[in-house]
Amino acid sequence: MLDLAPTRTGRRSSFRVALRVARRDIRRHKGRSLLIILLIMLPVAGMTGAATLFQSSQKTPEEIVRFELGGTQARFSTLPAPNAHSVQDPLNDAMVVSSTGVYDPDFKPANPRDLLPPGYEVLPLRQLNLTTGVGSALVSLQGRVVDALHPAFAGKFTLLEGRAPQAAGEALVSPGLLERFSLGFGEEFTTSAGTFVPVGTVRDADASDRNSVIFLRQEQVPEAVLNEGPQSPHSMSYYLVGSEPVTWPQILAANRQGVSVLSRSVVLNPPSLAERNVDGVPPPPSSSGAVALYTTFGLVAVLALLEVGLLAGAAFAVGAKRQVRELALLAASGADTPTVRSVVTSAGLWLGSIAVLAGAALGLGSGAAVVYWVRSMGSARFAGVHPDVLLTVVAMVLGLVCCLLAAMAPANQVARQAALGALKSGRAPAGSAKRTTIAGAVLLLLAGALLAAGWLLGESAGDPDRRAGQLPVVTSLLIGGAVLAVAALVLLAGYLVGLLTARTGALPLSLRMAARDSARNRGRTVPAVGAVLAAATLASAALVLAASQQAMMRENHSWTALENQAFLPLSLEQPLLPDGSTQPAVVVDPAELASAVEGATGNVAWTRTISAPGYVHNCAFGNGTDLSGPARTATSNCLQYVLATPAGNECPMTPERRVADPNDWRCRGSMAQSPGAQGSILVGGADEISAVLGAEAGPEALAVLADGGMVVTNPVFVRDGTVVLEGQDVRTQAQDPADPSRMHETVTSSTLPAIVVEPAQALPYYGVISPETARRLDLHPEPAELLVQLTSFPSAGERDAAAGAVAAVYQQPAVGFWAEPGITQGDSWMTWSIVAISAVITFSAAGITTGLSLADARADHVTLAGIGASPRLRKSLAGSQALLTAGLGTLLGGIAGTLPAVLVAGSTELRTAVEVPWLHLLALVFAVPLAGGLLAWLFTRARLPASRRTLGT
Amino acid sequence: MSVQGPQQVLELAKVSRTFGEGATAVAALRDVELTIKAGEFVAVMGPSGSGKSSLLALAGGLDRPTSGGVFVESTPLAGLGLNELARLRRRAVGYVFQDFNLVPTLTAAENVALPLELDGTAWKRARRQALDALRQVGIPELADRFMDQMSGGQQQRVAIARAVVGQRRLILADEPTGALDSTTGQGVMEVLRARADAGAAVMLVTHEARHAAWADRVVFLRDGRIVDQAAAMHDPAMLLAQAGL
Repeated sequence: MLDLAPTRTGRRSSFRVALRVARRDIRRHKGRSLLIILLIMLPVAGMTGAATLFQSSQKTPEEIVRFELGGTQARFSTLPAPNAHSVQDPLNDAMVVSSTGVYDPDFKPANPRDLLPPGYEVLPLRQLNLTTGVGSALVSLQGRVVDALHPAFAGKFTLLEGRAPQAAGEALVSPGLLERFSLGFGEEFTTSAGTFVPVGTVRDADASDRNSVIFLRQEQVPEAVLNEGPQSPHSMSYYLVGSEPVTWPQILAANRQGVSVLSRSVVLNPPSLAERNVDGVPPPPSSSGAVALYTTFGLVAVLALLEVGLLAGAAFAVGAKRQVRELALLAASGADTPTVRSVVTSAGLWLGSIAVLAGAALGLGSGAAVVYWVRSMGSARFAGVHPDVLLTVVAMVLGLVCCLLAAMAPANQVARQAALGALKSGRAPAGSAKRTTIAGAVLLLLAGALLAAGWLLGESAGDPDRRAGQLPVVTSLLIGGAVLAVAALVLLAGYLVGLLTARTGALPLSLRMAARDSARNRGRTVPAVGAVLAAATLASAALVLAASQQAMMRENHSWTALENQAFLPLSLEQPLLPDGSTQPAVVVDPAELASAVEGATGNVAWTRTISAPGYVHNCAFGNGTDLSGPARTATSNCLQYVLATPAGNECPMTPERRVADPNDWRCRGSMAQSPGAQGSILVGGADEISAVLGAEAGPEALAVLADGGMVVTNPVFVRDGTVVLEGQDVRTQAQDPADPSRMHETVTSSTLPAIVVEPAQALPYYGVISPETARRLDLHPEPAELLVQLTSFPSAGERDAAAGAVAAVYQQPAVGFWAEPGITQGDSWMTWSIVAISAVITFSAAGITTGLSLADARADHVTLAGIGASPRLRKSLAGSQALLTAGLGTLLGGIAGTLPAVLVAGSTELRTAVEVPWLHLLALVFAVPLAGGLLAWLFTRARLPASRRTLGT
Repeated sequence: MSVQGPQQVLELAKVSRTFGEGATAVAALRDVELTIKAGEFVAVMGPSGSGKSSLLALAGGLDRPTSGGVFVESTPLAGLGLNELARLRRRAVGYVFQDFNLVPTLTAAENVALPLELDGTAWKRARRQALDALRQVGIPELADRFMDQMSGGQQQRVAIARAVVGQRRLILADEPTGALDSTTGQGVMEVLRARADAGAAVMLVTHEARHAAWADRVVFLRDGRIVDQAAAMHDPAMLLAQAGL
């Protein structure tokens, strides 16, 4: 009797053989191996690069110290805290990490200068908001009053070019300032702090070189500029130079007085989390940011690798198939099933290892190159090159696992083969697909059950509050169902391929042959269909969700005016002076304003001055305001006008303040859910109604206006043909549970006859009253705004130019220019991008399958050529093959993605705006496969390529 | 179970093999009885479809009979699992095919050492035995060549070396000269004859009488049955003359 017991070293020895055979097979088939390596390498490189860039944007403690403190020990500044019971972040002196949160009106932060510990040299740094004239406009720039080239600031400030200032008028500037104002060294530059001559450029390690900054010494800045109210003391920082470290207890003491400290020693050795808490305040929940980051990363990584894994699976399937004779020989020579299997999986191990190593190196290298390049350009976006070891390892492991999994399915198939059958035919007999089909069917049933359960649960809750509470469960069920459906369809793909290609007798020859080839070679077809299916599922789901999101945004667009209209105030309040006294408002001439906009944009259709009840001005707000005085005086006004909502017409809300039914008429239209604001009531006639509301006032509306009534934009405010116009004192606060939009106390009330003229869009206006009515009601009507109708939405450049022009008119640099863009259709690029990305994946999968099919079918093509088939048949076959693979994948994926996405959208706040983008979906399901087929047809040579016969391959 | 002598290397006892079921069933072998002893060279002849290759596959454990028993060195193959059959092919049975005989990614020595290495033999020792086997078939100088660097005859010699390496005493050759010219084919037959003379049991499937003339016994198959067995002929020239070749 033979001894057939396994030997002790047999398994290890067999694996060594498998590794050797796999390694040499890779070298013999460089093209296919390179394809697999690239498929795995690129996502790993992308993920590693992204992780490196993300980590590089986070400063290490050493970098915080070097970039923010230079060589100094600490920086004292004002802490933005609401009270004395607040603690700052030890690594970020501008952030409060623990506080009782209660605003204390009596809390007055100390001046950081008063808390500086003795024994240090003090280097002050003051930030100034300066302006300079460009044409007739004033533009902002930053001023730093600091001795930037002090040796203690080495590492923080660096002299890039030029020299240190010597004369009184010389200054250092940022490179961005020179570029922005087209300046060179030695040229005069006039600012609101005086005229200076740049002699050198300085880099602030913590800021971009592109910022416009001028570095001045204290004696160069006029006293008046230094003492401007809003800039002191919050704009002051004090850097301490010395050897003694500033400790955490010192920082806590400073925090209690409203002063923050960035200390070198504390940054490098931060206190424990327990020491960062205010007594009695529960510690803040641990940040979920890192978890969210890693979860997102993991999800994207798994999806990307699933996709490329399926594509690589097709390549492995063909590799295994073309290796089948070699594997059969191994089996005939005594290789057992695990050894035969491990030859193919060893290829996955080799290729995966090479791919993940190369991918990680490429990702890290690219990330580092980007960081160095960005920093060399003067940006402070990245602190330094910080590889994320954990994410890099995760990406590498995922890539390797993905590659092994991709190799495993064909490995199992060839291992199951009968060695004799393979030796005879050179083809691996198809394994039994029955088990896979049954598993797919069971999964599909489960997926259907989950989707149905999620949908039913979502529909069962009519109450929006309850629906919101159930949302996590519902979306989990639906997403789980969608994922299972995709898995089920991938498992069923082989069965479906067989089913769909079973009756092909009536098809044209090329389609018939392609269909039968797909059915006979499922090992190659199924992974490619799976890859297209997965991509199409994600794409169609993303398309539905994106379209619904856009529909929601269109539905909820907050119209500030009609499309391409801009409102410019005719008077501008000035801030209070440091002593609390008021300054007169800036009043501008409408004609001058209109001319400025026309000159800047050149596309003004018309302008109109709009009147409104007098705006709020010179009105003192806040705690401790004396309310005994009248709401309106000769020099001030604290009244704004709103329409009261009649009882029963309020938009119904749930206890948790959600809109009970977004389709309820009481919740829709102009001002239905908006609190009143000044300018919500317009004063005018038919022309104003037409210009502002975009609606024509009929004779009845004009009659109501003439009779002292109001043209109202929303029937919600009308009861029995009248509205109630209320004057509210904005100095007061009102709490009305029935109508939370009522924020101030009503001090006047008038009932007016009303007629509804609804504008085309929900505009922020209650309506229009005539000038006579406004005067009768003592509303003090006056020209309030210049309405500018543009012929088209201005470009960013035109908006900037218009902002500069109107700022010059107002003599206020901070004034901007805003025009109503309407509902932007520009987001369609995003949905088409989704289709394009899916198309690229589909073309790749179809291309791989087609190429492999052509290589496989070489003998068949020789036969066809021998019986007189046209050379173009080869092209037609390639096109048909690509069409079948892509078409089946996109069709199944389109269904698998659209249905769950519609259910998910219907379960969320998108439920009122569920939109299926049929055009995009049709493009995905039909146009993309057709384009894939056409590309395959175009890029396939009609002539059979001559090749050297290679035995055993 | 039949009683076997100590010299019997292969026994097929009432072996039948049917492919397919029902109306499409095809009987490749029917009640075949055959034994081969150590040192015996048996040629199997017959027309296409007579069951020659099926007989060879059953003998080497690459296929299982529908009925009957196959014994290699007194071990019944019926009770062996797939992995045990794999070990049987490593340790007891050597195959030589018509073409595509070598694993293209392995050198000649590695191909020959393959069964030993799969069985856990240390690489150096396996290579030493492989070189011995290559020396026995007369091509030790080709040890480090790949198959596409060798002629067809050289490849078949390597395949024979692989079939005999180690302690294997059963060589199953399926038309090993089919892809070779007559001179090279004769060289391959000489090697097989020498292996039989050295004590191996050789079963050669062929449809050429001049190759069958090298055998001790010729078995004729037709429609899956052994229809005749020729007497041993020790002079190939006589067989060639008798066959009119």
